[in-house]
Formats: sequence, C-alpha cells, structure tokens
Amino acid sequence: MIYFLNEKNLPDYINNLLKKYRVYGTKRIGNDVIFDYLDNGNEFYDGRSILSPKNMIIPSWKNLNEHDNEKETIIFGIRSCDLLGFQIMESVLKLDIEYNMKRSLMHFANFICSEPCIYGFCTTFGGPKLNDSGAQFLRYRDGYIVEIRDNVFQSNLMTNASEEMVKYLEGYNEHFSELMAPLNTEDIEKKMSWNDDLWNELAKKCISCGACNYSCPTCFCFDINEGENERIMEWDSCIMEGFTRMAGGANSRPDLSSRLRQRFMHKLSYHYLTYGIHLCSGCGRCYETCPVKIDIRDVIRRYNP
Amino acid sequence: MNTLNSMETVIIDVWDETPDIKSFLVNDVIGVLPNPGQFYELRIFGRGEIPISYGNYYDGKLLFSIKNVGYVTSYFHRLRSGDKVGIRGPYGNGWEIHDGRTVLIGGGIGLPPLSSYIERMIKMNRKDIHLLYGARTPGDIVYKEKLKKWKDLFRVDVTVDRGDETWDGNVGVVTTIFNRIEWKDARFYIIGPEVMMKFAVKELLKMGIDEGKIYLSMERKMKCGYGICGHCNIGRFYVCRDGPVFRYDLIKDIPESFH
Ligand SMILES: Cc1cc2nc3c(=O)[nH]c(=O)nc-3n(C[C@H](O)[C@H](O)[C@H](O)COP(=O)(O)OP(=O)(O)OC[C@H]3O[C@@H](n4cnc5c(N)ncnc54)[C@H](O)[C@@H]3O)c2cc1C
Ligand code: SF4
Ligand code: SF4
Ligand code: FES
Repeated sequence: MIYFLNEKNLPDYINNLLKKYRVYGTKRIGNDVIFDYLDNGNEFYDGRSILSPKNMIIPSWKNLNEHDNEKETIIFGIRSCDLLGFQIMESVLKLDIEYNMKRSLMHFANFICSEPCIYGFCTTFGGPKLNDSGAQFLRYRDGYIVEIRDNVFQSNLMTNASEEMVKYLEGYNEHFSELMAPLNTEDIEKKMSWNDDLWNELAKKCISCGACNYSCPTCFCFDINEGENERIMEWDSCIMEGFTRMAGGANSRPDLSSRLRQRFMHKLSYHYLTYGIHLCSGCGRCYETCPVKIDIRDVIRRYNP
Repeated sequence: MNTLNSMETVIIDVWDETPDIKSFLVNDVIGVLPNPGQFYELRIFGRGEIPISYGNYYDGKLLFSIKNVGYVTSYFHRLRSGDKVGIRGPYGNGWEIHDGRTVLIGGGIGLPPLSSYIERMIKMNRKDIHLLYGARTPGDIVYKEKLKKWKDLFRVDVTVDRGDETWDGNVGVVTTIFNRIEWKDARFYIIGPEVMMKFAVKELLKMGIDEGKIYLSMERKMKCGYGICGHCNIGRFYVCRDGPVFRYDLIKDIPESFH
C-alpha cells in the first residue's frame, strides 16, 4: 500500500516504532551522516551515510565467543544502494544459519534519494526505487510518499497517497535516470578478460589499502582468528596479500594485479554467472574513498564504452 | 552444519604417521554420514580452526590426519587423547560414488581423502579401484597398515621421490608409475600438491584420457568452509562449497586453478 507522511509527523512516527523495536538509523554528527541506535525520533537525519549499515550482518569486528541478545531491529533511513547491497549479499549469506536468524529480525525503512549523489550510479543496477519487502520513503513536497510492504511500518499518522503521488513514485526511476545516466553492463560478465592489461595498469596505482572493500555495501568477505579468550570475526579484503596465502606461503593471487582482477571480476562477472546479479549496487563509495581514485565505472566503460 | 559455531568433541586416540603427520580419532558428535572426500573444520579452542579431510568413518568415530605446517596444525600436534576439540561439518561435495572403475592418484597428505573413498568402496564390497600413491621418502608414507590391507583387495602402487636402504619399490614422482594404469575408461580422482596435480593431468591427457573423466580435489585457504567468507573463491566457484572436488574441464580455464 502507498501512503503519505507529513514531515512534521516523522519524529513521532519514529518514536512509535521505538516503543516496540530497536531503531538503527541515520543521524548527523558534525558534517557526517552515520548509522547509530536512535533514542528518539528527532535524532533522525535524512541523508546518505558514510558507510552502509552492513556491519549489522557482517560485523567489522566481533568476538564470536560473546553471544549477544538478538532483538528485532529496524534499519531506518538506509539508502537504496545500501539496501540493494543487503539483497545482493543475501544470495551468498542465506546459506548461514545465524544470518537467517538475524535477518528475520530486521526490517528496512529505505529512504530514496531525492537527487543523485556525486559518485553513485545506482540507476545502472535498477535503482533507486527498488522492490523491497520493507518500507520505502520518497521525498514529496512537505513530506514523504511511503510504500509499505511490511506491516511493522503501518501507522495512523499516515494518510492514503493521492493518485498523483502514486504516479510520481512509479515514474521515479525513469525520472532519476535522466539525471543519472545508467552505465551499460550488458554481457560484461562475458566480456571481461583475465589477461586484460588493465589489471597491471591499476596495480601500478593501487596502494593496497583495502578501503574499497571496507566501504563497499556488497563486499561480504570476512576473516576469523582466535586468541586465548576471543574468537574474532572481522572484515577481510581481497586486495590484501594474505587473503589467499596458505600455510607454507603458497598463494594463488600473489601479485596485486591478480587481486585487483579478482575484485572487479568477482563484482562484475563471477557473482553474476552464479546468481544472475552483479556484486555491486552502484553506490560509488569505492571511488569516493580510494586514495588513488581507481574508478569501477571506468572498468565497466572499458568493456562497454 | 552451516554455522560458525563448532560442537565439542573428544580425541579418543592420537598416533604418529610420519615425523610430521599425526592421526587423530575423534568421536563424531554430529551424526551425519559424510561423503568420501568431504572435510570438517576442526578447532582448538583459543588457537584456531582448520579444514581437514576425514580419512575414515566407522563406529561413530572419525579419523583425521594432520600435517604440521603452521600455527594451528602445530597445536594439533601437541594434543593427546582425552583433549577436547571443536568440530563442524561435513563440508564440500567430495568424491562421487559412481558405477564404473576408479583410478585414485594421491600425493603426500592427499591419501586420507582417498582413504575415505576406498573404505566406503570396501564396505560396498567393491574392488574396481586402482590406487597410485606417491610420498617424498619411505618415512613419509602415511596409512602403512591400511596400504598393506588394501594391497590384498585391489591394485596398489606406491612410489617415493627419494628411496633409502629399506625401500625396494619404485623411485620417482607419481607420474613415473602411470604406465601401470590399465583402465583408460576409468574415472581419475586426483589429490595432492598443486604441481603434482598439474603434472598428473598433463600426463593423463597425453595418455588420451578424456578431460571429463578427471576430477581434482582443490586446496584453498578457507575460513568458514560453507561458502560465506569468500576466501576460497575461484572464478564462479567457492572451493569449500562447490568443491573441493572439481571435474577438470570445468575449472581448467580459470587461470587461478593452478598457480
Ligand atoms: C578441503 C581441505 C582439506 C584439507 N585436508 C587436510 C588434511 O586432511 N590433512 C592436512 O594435514 N591438511 C589438510 N588441509 C590443509 C590444512 O587445512 C592446512 O594445512 C591448515 O589450514 C594450515 O593451518 P595452520 O594454522 O597450521 O597454518 P597457517 O599458515 O598458520 O595458517 C593460518 C590459517 O590460514 C588458513 N589456512 C592456511 N593454509 C591453509 C590451507 N592449505 N588450506 C586451507 N586453509 C588454510 C587456516 O584457517 C589457518 O588456520 C586441507 C585443506 C583443505 C582446503
Ligand atoms: S563496488 Fe564500489 S560502487 Fe559497487 S557497491 Fe561496492 S563500493 Fe559501491
Ligand atoms: S581503495 Fe584504491 S588504493 Fe585502496 S585497495 Fe582499493 S583500489 Fe587500491
Ligand atoms: S571457506 Fe569461506 S567461502 Fe569457502
């Protein structure tokens, strides 16, 4: 169902959710937008967070020996690219018992961007309006058009959407694509080449910092290491030399060019060949955070100019 | 058992196979009959976890053989019977039990996963197998008792890279005994160090063996063991989940299959 929520009512709407659920939402700290648990509805800030809230599923650092009480949680304010990131990662993570448990306790309130961000290219992967089972909020005049598929988001603070609003929502991706031209990814999974000199070129620039992996809402790779009283799960990075290094030193990706090839081919080819979706949501964060400005859009354009 | 949480089990017995390989008998607390060639994640609490193939499954007990090569494996070599370890699995696909003949080719610590296949075949009263096994020296041969027992049941050829005064068998890498292979129509199940597998495949292809009859058990760094941590990804496969056994023609074009 599609509703309208006046922005005046947004804090109260969130406060009502807080009565029953934990709300992990976007708030503003200085000039940054970050995800954090909200104490009240006024803390919420409608903006694109620096990082995706993927740590809710793949923690950046967690001691697996400590079991936390899982509680029903609402991820509030997530941008479409990051939500798509969760949907993409699910293709892999749904094999895991704990993932399914955590995911069943999560609800997503997605805030669709009202204008393109600088580096994003979400229209390439079907965004920014997605088909999701949660709630999607689209800025409209003095409030939001809200499409609800998950009943936890129902509220009597909302009114039914007008026909005009429904039309606006339905035509939104088309409108957005005029502002942010989608890149052409047709057949890229087949066109990408292992022997492309591009990987050597990129290796000359890359400094192996791993920022691209850590900032990516679709990178799910993690490491586990155990110490005396702790067993740590943490983000890992395929750009790092140790990612594939085995006992005795044998390494199937010993050089940086093979690791960059892995990163881009896993994203744009391998994952697609198995699951029929690319391992990228077009958020643009890898380019934004890369200190030497390696641009995944250039990789796509190389195969589909 | 698609979870990172392991179950606790007890080591019933430990013994030396070679100077750097020990075997462990543990209670199976999971209760799932594994496929031959599958592996488990074994854990020493406070130290770490490693993927290890099982060598045999009988009477609710699992046999593992571990070579001391690094951090966690060195702690395994300090364990005694009665010590507790963590276990989760079984993981991966393993060797398919098929109707025809099988030529098994193994190197070094690659024998345990072939042993799980052989022991299953024996249980099924099947003898249509031929084992070719290579070790560095006579002292590096694992499962000596089993090899003796198997010799009475089916063809077994063992070779060593370097012989000594006790050794009257073949000396040379495993491919030097490929002339003893009589079954060209068999399936070929191969496991060992990557260079060994590379040369074995090359030799088999030269002998006219069909690519689609050759199966390799691949090794990659692993953490989760069931396809979610990303470490063992090659091309569109996760070695832990889609492998470790792959038909050669399906992976030969992935440049990272052999390094
Ligand atoms: C499917 C499979 C089956 C195996 N079966 C056996 C077996 O039956 N017997 C045996 O002795 N060895 C086996 N191995 C190899 C064994 O897992 C490694 O020797 C072991 O992980 C090395 O751990 P380490 O801590 O001693 O070495 P380190 O070099 O200290 O490694 C640190 C960590 O990296 C990972 N890692 C390192 N090397 C490997 C590797 N080769 N494979 C996978 N993960 C690795 C592990 O998580 C390990 O704890 C198998 C490997 C795979 C992939
Ligand atoms: S690869 Fe880059 S653009 Fe694509 S989802 Fe990851 S960070 Fe965003
Ligand atoms: S962010 Fe840039 S420099 Fe850092 S690892 Fe990724 S590509 Fe290399
Ligand atoms: S070991 Fe984690 S994906 Fe294969």
